[in-house]
Amino acid sequence: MSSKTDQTEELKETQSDADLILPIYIAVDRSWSMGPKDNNAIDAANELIPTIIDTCDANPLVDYRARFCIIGFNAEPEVVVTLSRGTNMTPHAFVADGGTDFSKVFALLKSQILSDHVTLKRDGNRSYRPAVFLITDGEPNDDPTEAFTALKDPGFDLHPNVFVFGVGKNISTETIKQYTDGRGLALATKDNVSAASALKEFISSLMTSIIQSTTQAGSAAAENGAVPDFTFDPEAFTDSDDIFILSDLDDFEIQ
Amino acid sequence: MIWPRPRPTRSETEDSPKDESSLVSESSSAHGLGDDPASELSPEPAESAFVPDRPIATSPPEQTTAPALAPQLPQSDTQFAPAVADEALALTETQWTLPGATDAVEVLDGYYAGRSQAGNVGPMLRISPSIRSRQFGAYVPDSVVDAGVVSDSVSIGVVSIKGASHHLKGDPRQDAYAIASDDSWVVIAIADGVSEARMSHLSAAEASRVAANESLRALAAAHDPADADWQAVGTKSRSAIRTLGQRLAQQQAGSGSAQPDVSDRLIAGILATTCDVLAVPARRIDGLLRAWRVRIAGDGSFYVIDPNRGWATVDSGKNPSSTIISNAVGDPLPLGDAPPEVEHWDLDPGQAIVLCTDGFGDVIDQGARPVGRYLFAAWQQPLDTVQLLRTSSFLNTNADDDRTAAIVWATA
Repeated sequence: MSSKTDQTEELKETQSDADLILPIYIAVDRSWSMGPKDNNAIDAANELIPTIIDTCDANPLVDYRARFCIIGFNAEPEVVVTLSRGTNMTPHAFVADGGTDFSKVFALLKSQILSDHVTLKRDGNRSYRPAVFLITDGEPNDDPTEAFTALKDPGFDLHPNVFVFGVGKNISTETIKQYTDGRGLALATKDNVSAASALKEFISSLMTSIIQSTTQAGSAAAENGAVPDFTFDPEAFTDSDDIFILSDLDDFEIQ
Repeated sequence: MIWPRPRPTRSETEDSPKDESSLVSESSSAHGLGDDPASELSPEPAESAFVPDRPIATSPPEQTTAPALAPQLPQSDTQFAPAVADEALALTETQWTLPGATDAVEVLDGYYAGRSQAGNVGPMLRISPSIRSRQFGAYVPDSVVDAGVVSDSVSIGVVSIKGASHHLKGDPRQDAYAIASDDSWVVIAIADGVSEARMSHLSAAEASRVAANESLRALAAAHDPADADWQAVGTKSRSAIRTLGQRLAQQQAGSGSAQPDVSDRLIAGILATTCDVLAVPARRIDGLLRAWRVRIAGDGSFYVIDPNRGWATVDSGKNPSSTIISNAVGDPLPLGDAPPEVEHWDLDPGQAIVLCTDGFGDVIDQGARPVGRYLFAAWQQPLDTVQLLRTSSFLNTNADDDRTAAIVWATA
């Protein structure tokens, strides 16, 4: 039996407009191999946050509906930008260093998603299913199976859609596909393309998809408890010179 | 309008034109593509049986506890099994929501000064309207509105407004409507082009135009609207979009080329649209004013406004608990082949009926939210074009989609 407070809250909910927020988590590999002596993609990675800021500056709907959490990781993950509006973010310079560990970043993602959801709900928002973008240029040094299984566990109500972009050619397509989940896609760098160029294009296309998802007409009004998904636009890559999609689009339910 | 994008098959992807945006020449438009494609189609056989998904009512609903659409067993038709009718009857009780007082306020300054702000406005005041188009030749007026007195018992209003998200992206308004009428009927068709279909502004205009005209033709030919050949209306509307797609593909290929082989799925990728029809007699006859809704494709919402009871959500297109929604007509045109769903409502004097796209339906919801409260107050009486456009141009945080509504007021 619901309490009077519950009933009041329920009534309030049905009589007000909740904002629908898209939480986006971008985990950027900043291991040694991202540096100038190997893939040389760290400068491109450092353009991520300024690009988000510019995108949100130019598009009020994106700024209002999207929230970004940026995580840098090597052997240790670190939240460099807590879940924020794009226009509230400040640039962060990643420094390439250390190895690559997926387990800890998957664990951190799960805990961040949980705590952020509490905050979003407390503030009266509803949310899209979280979208996670893992940008990595190398094979993990650990076995992340357990942590990844926990993150994508269907029993975890907030299990995210996980997209993996393999920067450069040091990461196998099997690895990229292995850690993709939900409506996420696996994307890889084409042959004879620099990692930096591919990452730059990925960031640009990611922004296009974020705009598409948050400004898709009517997206914010999906009602009746349905949890909308981030919409990644695979068409952005069909003619790409730098990136190709590993996922089988026939198995990929696009909404 | 969001729609699950038709998944490209490998062959379709490979065969698709490289630049779909160039499929239309500068001078092309939905109304400039030639004769009515539907008129080129073979008519449905006269003996073609109309078999609706659900039974059609024959008696007026009891307003307090009766079924919204009174999907009772037609007395004169034995093709419906009583068990089905009973089940439908049990499932469809009218749910009325009497909204509280509106708390809408007028925007006092800035670009949108004078508009109404219904509830949380979110980022809407920061979004400037734009006449920019990212598609060559894709001009559609920002807003269109019609209103008129049909008789002493019927007035109508129809409005379609471009959404903020399309202003931001430089897309044209993808909603459309068309009106057809004769001495006996007024028919309004509304269509909501699928966002991801790049040229759905063309198909929405075409679908609504064909659906309105063909509905009027079907009504004129039928003794009873329940017996009208609605299936033919659906078929012709669907075929019109198919024809439009083939014509655009031919333009792309060049006039000297063989007719390109384009699948419905490929056409839907650029032209998918919903289509809904509202038909109302020109006047109350023998005390009865029965409005008909013909859902050809899509997720439009269908409401009744009663000054004393509030909003009745006859069909909320996206409400999974709705007993009306059916996947049978869930596919956008030109996909799918299900016959239209046909429903009706007997309007009492003072009531209004509203058929709208999800740009309105999603924010009206069940009627209790801010936009529902605002429009309940604003739309109770017939409005002229200026007032209909003004009241429909409210700002709300979730109202970024194109919005189109057809309203019929039973004035007596």
